Amino acid sequence: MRIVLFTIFFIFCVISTIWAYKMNYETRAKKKQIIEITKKINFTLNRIELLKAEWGFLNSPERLSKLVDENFLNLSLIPISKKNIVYDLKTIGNFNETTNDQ
Amino acid sequence: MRQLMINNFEHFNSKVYKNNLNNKPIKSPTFRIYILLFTFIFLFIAIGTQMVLMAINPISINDKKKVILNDKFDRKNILDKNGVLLATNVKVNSLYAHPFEIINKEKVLNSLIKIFPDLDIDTLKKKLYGNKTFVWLRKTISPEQQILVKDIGQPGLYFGPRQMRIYPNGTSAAHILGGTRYGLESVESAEILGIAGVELFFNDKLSDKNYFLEHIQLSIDIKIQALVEEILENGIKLMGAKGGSVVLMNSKTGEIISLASYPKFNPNLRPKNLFKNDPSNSPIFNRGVQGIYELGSVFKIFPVALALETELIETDTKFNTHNPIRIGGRTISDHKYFGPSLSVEDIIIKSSNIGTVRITQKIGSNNLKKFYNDLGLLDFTTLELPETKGTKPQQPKKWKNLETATASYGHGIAVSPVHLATAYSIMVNGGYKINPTILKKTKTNIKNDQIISQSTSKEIRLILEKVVTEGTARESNFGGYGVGGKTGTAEKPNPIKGGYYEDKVISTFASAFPITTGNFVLVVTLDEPENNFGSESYRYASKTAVPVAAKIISRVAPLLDLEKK
Repeated sequence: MRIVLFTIFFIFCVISTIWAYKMNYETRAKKKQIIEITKKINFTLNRIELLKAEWGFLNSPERLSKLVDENFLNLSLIPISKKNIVYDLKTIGNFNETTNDQ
Repeated sequence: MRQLMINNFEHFNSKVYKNNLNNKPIKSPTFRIYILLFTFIFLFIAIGTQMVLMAINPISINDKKKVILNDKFDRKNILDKNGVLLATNVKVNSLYAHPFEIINKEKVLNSLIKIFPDLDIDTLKKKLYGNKTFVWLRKTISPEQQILVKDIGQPGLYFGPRQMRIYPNGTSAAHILGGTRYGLESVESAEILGIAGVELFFNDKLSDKNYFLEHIQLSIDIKIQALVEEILENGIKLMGAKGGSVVLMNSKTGEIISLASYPKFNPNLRPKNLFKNDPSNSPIFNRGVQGIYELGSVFKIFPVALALETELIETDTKFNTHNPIRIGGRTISDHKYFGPSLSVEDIIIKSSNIGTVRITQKIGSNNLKKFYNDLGLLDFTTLELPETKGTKPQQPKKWKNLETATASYGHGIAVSPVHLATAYSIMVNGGYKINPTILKKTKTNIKNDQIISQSTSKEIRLILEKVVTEGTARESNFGGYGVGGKTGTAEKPNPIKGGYYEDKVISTFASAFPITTGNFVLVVTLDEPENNFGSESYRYASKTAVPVAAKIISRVAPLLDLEKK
């Protein structure tokens, strides 16, 4: 009876040793992986930040108005005025009259 | 014989065995096994627990090389009203060197000069051939430049990570944003510090990593800001003015939508303040906030509002404008004769000094002073810019009869355009107090003290509208929007001789639109303008500041959602 118990315990010991050994190395690998991923995330976040800044620069009002002026022949964009805004469709009739007045 | 030997041996062995038995009794073998067993159990539980803990909480791992997430938030972003980026950080590199490690110093010197043409060759020589073991070469370099430096192929040149503050919109809103500089520097990082504007005022919040906000959102609308700056710049160039400023404010909340000042600068390459004699000539001077001017006739609406509020007068009460008034040894007259008498309305529409002074004489010094104080014209504004702290309005030392009279038409009292915009907002918004702010407001409809009543505010709006339809500002086209406003042309004080210049003026137009509700207030101030388009040259606000304001309103109003009701 005692022999059986000892054998079972011995087997348990061996198994848990193997488990602990494997777990140790798995953990180390995961640790490295986490560092790699964090680095990647940081890189991507910085890249997003850089792209946002670039987007901000490309969309800066000064640059856009310059482009509108340069491409006036193709786009013929003019500044928005009161005439371009209609909130209530019923007033379109009056709206035409007022534009004629101006 | 052999048998005997074996017997002897056995005998000997058994003797030893028996002796041993008698002297040291053998302990029970199970006891040793138990010790071993418990030791092993203890060790395995200890190791197992540690494993489980590590598995549950991976952050508790001791790591010598710490990689922290989100290290990009060194300094928070600044956004405009609609979430457009106004200031942000990008990662660049700094360049430093360990000169003693460099083998071919001449090659490094020549290559660096080629890559960075703005580097001074003599200082660079001193750095590379000097005795120092560590020298900074450049604070920020671009990735392209980094590749070129690597291509030199010499040891001893190193790169350190750096955050660089950039303003993607260039000169737009430069005076509001201010600028930054590097504080403490090390090889791994450098501290970014605000030196002016929002960057300085919110420096702690912007650099505090524990602060709950991810960014600071301003009330500025960058597309309107850029538009206003462009129109102001063109207007100033046309009028040959020295400078100017525009304040566009939401009169209901006090939010500043646009605050422009010319001359302008680029916050990415912030110039140093080179103008020590007259700071207002420097491009970094924010005229809208720091510029304190005697703004002239735009003030006339305030005594009228107070008199209407206290029911001393009606809008059609007549006042004698026939003779100039003598007060305290000075004569106050109009720039032309307006007839024997004018109604209160006409006093504002035609901008009569005599009429305004007569109304003010009914009010009294103390009441006018108190009213100016209520409007915030005698104290610092609440605007969240560090520049406001240094600019207290100038007021007469004693409010005697003469000082009160001149203060009623905007002389002897000097305020900034933001002060004026705040006071006009109170005039037209229904009469309640507002505090100018540069931050986007999250809560609206906060009950504030009533300075003038709703009905007085409405009367003021009607008078201001008439100034535009039939008064001093009638010649400009406001793009079909109902606008009300008041012009002001004030001679500039001469700091050298004393008194006033005859040919240098500050011309101002303070206006509100749409005038039926008075939602927005616009103040345009031009410094030394001159309109030379007609046969004569004009300096009056009606020919200088008003056309600029008209252009701004007709362009900006469609962007403000005015008619969405």
